[in-house]
Amino acid sequence: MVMTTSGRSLYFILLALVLTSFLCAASRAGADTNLELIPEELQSVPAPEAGAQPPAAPSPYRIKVFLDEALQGNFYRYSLAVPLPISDFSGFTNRTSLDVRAEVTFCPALSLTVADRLNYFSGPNMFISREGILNDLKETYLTWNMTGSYFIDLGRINVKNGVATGFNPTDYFKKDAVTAMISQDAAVLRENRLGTLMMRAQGIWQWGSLSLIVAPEVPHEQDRWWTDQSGGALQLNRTNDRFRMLAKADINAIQDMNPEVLYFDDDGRSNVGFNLTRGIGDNVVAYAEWNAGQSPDIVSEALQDARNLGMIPSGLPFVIPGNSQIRFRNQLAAGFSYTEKINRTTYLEYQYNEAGLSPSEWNNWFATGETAKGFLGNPKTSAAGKGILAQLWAIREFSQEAQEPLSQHAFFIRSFWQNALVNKLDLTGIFQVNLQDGSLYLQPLAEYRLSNSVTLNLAFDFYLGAKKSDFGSLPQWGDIRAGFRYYF
Amino acid sequence: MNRLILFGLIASLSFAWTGPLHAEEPATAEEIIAASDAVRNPDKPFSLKTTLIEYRSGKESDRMVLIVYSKEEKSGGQYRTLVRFIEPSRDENKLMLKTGNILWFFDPASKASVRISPQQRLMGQASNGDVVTVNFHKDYKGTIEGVETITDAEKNSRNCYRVNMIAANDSVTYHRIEYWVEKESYQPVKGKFYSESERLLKTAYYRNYQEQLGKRRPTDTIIIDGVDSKLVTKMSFSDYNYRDIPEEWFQKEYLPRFKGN
Repeated sequence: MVMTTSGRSLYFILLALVLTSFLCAASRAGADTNLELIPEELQSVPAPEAGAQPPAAPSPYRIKVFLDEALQGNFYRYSLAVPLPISDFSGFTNRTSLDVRAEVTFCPALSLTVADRLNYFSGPNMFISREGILNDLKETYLTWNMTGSYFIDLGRINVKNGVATGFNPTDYFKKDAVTAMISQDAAVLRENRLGTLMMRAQGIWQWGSLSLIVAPEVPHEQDRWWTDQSGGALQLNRTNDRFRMLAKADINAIQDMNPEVLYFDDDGRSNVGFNLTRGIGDNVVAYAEWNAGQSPDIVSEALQDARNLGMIPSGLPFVIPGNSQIRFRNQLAAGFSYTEKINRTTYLEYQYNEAGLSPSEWNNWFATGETAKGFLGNPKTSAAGKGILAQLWAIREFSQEAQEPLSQHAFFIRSFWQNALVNKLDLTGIFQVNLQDGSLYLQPLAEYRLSNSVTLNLAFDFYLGAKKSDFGSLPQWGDIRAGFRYYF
Repeated sequence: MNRLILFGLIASLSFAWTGPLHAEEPATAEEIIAASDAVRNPDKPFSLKTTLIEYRSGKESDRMVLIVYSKEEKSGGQYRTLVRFIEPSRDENKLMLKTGNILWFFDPASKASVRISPQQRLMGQASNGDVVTVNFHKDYKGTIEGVETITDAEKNSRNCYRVNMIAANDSVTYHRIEYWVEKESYQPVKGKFYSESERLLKTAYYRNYQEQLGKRRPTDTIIIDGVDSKLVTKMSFSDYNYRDIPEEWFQKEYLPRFKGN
């Protein structure tokens, strides 16, 4: 039997196909190259464990302690458009903090929460005027879980509201709550602020939650254990200087919007707030936070506040008139976060503060400052000049302590990149620009997770701009900060 | 003669080819995916401990321990998951809540609940979607691509359905999954996870099956990064327990009050 040429060709083609298919099958069955990528340590499968352990009862104690150390070098401007009335700042400052947070459950219905930060400050700078050992009792409150998800809290509580990142118009208890501006990062300041003495009732249901908060005014007596600013005093005069009441409804019924509606009574002044978030695709979250509150403008509010604190004698007129009319003024923070595949998340946020300084009010601030500066050279007018400067800088200080933008329009960017460039290195960049004068604040921060307990950090702060601008007029143009955090 | 040779070779080819499923196979792709979901996920609200260990070039580089609480939604059948961070100490007691496509991250230090996007990773290289409990059959449409014998991560041959799963909605972490499910047991053996642009994101091996809550379930998942193959994550699951999980645990406002163990 003779095979033709075409028959032989067909035979070889089919033979090749058979061999190929067998090889493919063998490859599929036995040679998954991905398996070779599994580290040797994981090649052996651990021995089966004993059966499931019953869930442990919740521990009656939860405690978290860390030590935070930061050494800072400060860089100052030699010439200021508006000098400070007093400036005895240090070139180097140091802060060592021991932070403790503990929760104790006495019985399923009753628990106690305590959060405290013990600080040692050396060398004052532009943002930290404190020195020596100072204790901030941030929280101490009892929680009574009445039934199901109904709760009553009583004590000093740190209540944080708002969905925005750089400026939170509905974070009503933030004013004066930060005792030391250890950073300009709002996220850091939120960890480092005093709670407010209050009673809070809250109910949580499937459709959302309702909260009612009443924060009393404490007696305004100087140097008492609840008002004293030194050592271990409670500093309740910072957080409870007036009566406040907050009602808040959180609604889950509207899919993917999570609206929050807030009503805040600030010692007789009404505020209405609103929070909204919305996911767009799998890497964008848009948000908006708005508040309309009865208030004068920031100049009137700041100067009246300084007068109430005794910084401006009662007979002395205010050097900048401001607008003292109490009416509803809007505040807004709106933006979005964007996450890239490399796990870098960037927040872009527009900030509006209707009560803030307009460009003409900034001009007035600088013009008044120049006049005061002229008074300083003459011994007869020097005291008057310093008085004017004290008022001007009281406005700046008020804005900082209220954690509100001083200008009406600002733009904020915060970018966080986890495992950036090398493993365990996290980079953060913060950028805040005053849209009225173009001046800006910039903070690059690097954190390296040395181990599960130790994090090293290095940060720079830059306050840049023209001499007569928001950030360019600050006495400090920058600083470098290095430190570590140790978790016990 | 040629016809005989041809017939014989085609017969051999068919024998060697492990391709398309025969008509008599009873399981549909949906049934296979649902059955494999039931292998991975207990049928009642439960909690488990997840230990994530990251390896870079074969060496351990990071470790994280989480407690995961999961409960199916009454409507829709997808899971809601609350994740509590246990280790490392700097992350202790932080929480992540996932309901549908909405994720919240809570840090007790700042008392702030921050909404994050599904793509934002909190657990090193593992995506949020890897850590939370997911019923694939609720979010993917599948087709059976064939039956294959593959080698599992324990070097055993397993006869598997190869199911191609395409995302049916936008709430998922992965656009497409190639999924190998053992024919006899419906145990998932291997998965290849792809982005919308068809980029291989990761390959996962399910292994170390043990009796947990009434079924043999995978207690290890080995994840090999699709871009950097030197990056391997081992996820170990232990302490499976049925739990009575109140609905309120899945509310954002409950996060500051969460004390569960």
